[in-house]
Amino acid sequence: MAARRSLMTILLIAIGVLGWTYVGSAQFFDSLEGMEAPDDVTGVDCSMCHGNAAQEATFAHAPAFEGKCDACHQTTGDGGHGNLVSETRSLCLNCHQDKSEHYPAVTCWTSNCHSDMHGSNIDPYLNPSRQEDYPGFAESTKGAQYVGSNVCLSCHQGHRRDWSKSMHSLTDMGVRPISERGCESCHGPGSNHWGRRAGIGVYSMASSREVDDSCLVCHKSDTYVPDYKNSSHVKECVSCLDCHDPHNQANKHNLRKDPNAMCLSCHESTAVDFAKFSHHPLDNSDPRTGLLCVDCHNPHGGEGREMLTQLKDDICFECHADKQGPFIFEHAGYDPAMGRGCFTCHSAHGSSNPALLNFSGRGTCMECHTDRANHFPAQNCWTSGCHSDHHGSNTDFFFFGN
Amino acid sequence: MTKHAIHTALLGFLMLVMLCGSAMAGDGCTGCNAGCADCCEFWQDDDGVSNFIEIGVTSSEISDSEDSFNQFGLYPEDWYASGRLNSSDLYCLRSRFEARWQDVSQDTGRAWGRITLWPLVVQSDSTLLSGRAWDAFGTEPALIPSEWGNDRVGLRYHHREFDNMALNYQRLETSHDATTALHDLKVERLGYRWNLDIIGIDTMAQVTQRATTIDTTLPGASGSIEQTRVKLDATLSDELSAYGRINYEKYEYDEQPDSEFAGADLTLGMRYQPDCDWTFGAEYRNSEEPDDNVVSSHVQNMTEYGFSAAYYPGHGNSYEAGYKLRSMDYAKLDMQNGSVFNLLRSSSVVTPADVAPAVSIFSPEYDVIWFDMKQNLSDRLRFKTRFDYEAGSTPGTELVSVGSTSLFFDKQLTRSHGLSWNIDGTNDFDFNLYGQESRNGGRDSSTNMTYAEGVWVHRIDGCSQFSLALRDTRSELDIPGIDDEYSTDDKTYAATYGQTLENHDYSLNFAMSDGSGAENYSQTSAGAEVRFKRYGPLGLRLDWFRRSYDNYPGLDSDAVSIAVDYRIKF
Repeated sequence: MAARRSLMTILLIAIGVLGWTYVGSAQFFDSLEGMEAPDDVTGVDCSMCHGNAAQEATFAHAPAFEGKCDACHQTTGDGGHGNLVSETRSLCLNCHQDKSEHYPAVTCWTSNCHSDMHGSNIDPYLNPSRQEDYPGFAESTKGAQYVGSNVCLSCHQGHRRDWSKSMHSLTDMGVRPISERGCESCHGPGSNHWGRRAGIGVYSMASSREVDDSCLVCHKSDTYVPDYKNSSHVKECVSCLDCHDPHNQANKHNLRKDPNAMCLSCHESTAVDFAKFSHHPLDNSDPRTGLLCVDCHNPHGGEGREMLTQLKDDICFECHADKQGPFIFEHAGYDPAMGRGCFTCHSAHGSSNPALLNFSGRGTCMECHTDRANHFPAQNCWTSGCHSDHHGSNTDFFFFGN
Repeated sequence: MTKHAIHTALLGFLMLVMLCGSAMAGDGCTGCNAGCADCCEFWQDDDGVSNFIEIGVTSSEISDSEDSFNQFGLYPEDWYASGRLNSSDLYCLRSRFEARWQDVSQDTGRAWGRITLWPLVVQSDSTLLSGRAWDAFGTEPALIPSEWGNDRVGLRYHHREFDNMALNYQRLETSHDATTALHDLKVERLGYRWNLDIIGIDTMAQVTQRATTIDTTLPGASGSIEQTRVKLDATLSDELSAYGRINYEKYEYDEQPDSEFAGADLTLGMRYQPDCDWTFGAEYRNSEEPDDNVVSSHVQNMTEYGFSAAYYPGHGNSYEAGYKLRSMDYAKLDMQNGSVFNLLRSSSVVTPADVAPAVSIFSPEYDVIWFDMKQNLSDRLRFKTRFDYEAGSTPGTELVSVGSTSLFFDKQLTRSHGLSWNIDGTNDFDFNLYGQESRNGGRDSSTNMTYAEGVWVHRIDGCSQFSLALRDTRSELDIPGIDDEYSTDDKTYAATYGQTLENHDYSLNFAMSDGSGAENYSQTSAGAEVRFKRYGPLGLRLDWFRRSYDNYPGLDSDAVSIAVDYRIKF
């Protein structure tokens, strides 16, 4: 019966996924109904069907303006989305060879930068959201005056509710200088921005270092971030805004997602560990306890590559304090100087074996005690009731329990 | 069984509802094409600050448990409070309350504090017995009722020179109804952390102090620990920076022969960055172990010197390498000494002085080499690899008693490789390999642990995503004279799907593990969640879990839980 229930659940999920796929594909094919394109349009004026927005745009992309569509698009065959000659940034580098080291994203247009690739009425760099080639905030807001957050929120109503819940809204209160208050404390003075898209500092194109520098103006002395610049996240170009939404307090600490989900959205392999038979209980997975990734890791910089909040074993002793010792009879094998501390025997996130052990049963002990393979082999070394104080004992050299 | 059928039917019904909802969602995804305005439209109905009460109920068929919760949030002008109360008839009771108060003074700038209370009481059953032991005893393991509690109170204070002080208190308690090998434990911890920005010399300092009391039924482990830690990060010039860490721990264990003893740890390091591409580092570390009472073989102190070089040419490429020399003083207790052996087997209290004649000091050294590389092979292909190699100068057989052949590893190699492939902008594939081999030369034995995993993420459009993860984990003991009955081979499959629409979000997840070798088991879990944004919001969640052992059906377990929550704003 149990197997039947499992099969039923799997079947339902499979039906669901297939259903969505079918619905999605059906809608797609419906949209194509009645359309028919020739296989080869060599020599045909593309603007007959597609028009030529470039000729009407204030800032035009030269090949598009001149009707040289084949500079980027194939006129025969199927080149994938947009029938492009190439779907990578190498397409742009054919002409813009000097930009080979300029923000090396996969493509120049799907990076949300130069996505108005045919022409733009607002930005010579064909950027739909920016007007200048990111000159830095000081340049963007040159000559502007501070106007206060209420003026900003009169247009940006989407931020209105969230902002009032955000810790950052505190900056609007008190006697802080006006340059350190509200929206303009990060985006710069906004008077030149009124009624148009330009004249304000934006972060969408800022490098991770520029973003971090901006946040650290205020947060550099925060209790949990003093090591941030030496953290693995900084080395991987993860910026503050990748995890935090400064406008929104829907999740604690302005996080974009639930704290654990935020971490696991990048660390997929760790998510697999937490799906194993034996695992530390994350907040959402077990109603009994509820741990957060940040109980052990400091995403703003901590000890070592893993950015731990403390040295490895000290983290374990936060909850497992009775394993800390020092004991009169120490189990020397997992001394951090000789082995790997607690991780000599245990996995940190999850394991297929009980108690997060690296090996099954007495196999854990035989990692070091290789001569004990046939020592009472029918029983586990500790569940047998013999070496039950194996983390250390104050009464028995052989870690016998009481 | 009836509940199982109802839950299974509900799971199917919920999925069908979402399937129909997706099919009927003619407006479809808007966030990807229409910009943020449409996504934010939901919030525009609000006129700024509003209070809310959220109510919900979760029914879990673990042990006929029902979990209900209510949550509230209050946002008056200058303070903030939120709380959550969970209750369950049999399983657990927990509540969480958080209050944040802020005061804006015209004279003193700003001051605010936050207090979080998280009392938790859990009534649960646990067992010490694994499936293997259960098989050996031939009886069903006895469940041991236990209670688990955890309180946390924290305060952060910002005011003038006391800016960035954090004060916290934590209580942790575990107790068991029966006298068993499981030890009761009660821990109370009070600590504070203070960050200082010493502007005159461009140095950041962090001072942490913490007092812990431990009360446990484990003999001799009850007492108190006082910890002091100082971290310093100094910028000496544009190219040069230095850091230091000092830890001092003072122990007071009344039941041990020497009731007061201490340990210390010092780390000093420098970083030299001649330009943006290169970083050179050097580090020194020394630790003195708190070993006043330790009788058995143990490390007395450890010293480590290391240096590293890193090259970051940009574009996500990096090359790092380092070397460390670790040396220590290791006190070995000769267990073949008859008088010592008899002393240890007696009931009298043993002190280090009693066994001193049978202790000899070794000073093994370990060479540690590591290499780390990340390389973009193309615009879409990224490769990373890392090697850690460790080798000791003293054979492990010399570190244990004569006649005993158990020992630590002589050599260990840990390696990991990863390949990330952005296939076409909507598909990503990650492949990781990990291996760790520990070699025991004296015994001609080794342990080998490997895993391989692949993760595929497919973004169907800007609003939906599908991911599939596969992992194969193997652990292998290679010891002369025994077969591989302690080796394991486990496979885990996990899949998730989520879609964000204008009016509702939903997600599905599924994971399955299959273990073979020493432990034959299978584990399956599935879950679905939908949140209707315009109604409440109203959230529904359903989770199902099952684990079964092929050889030990008595350890099988399964659970189904259904949750509903609704938010009322006022």
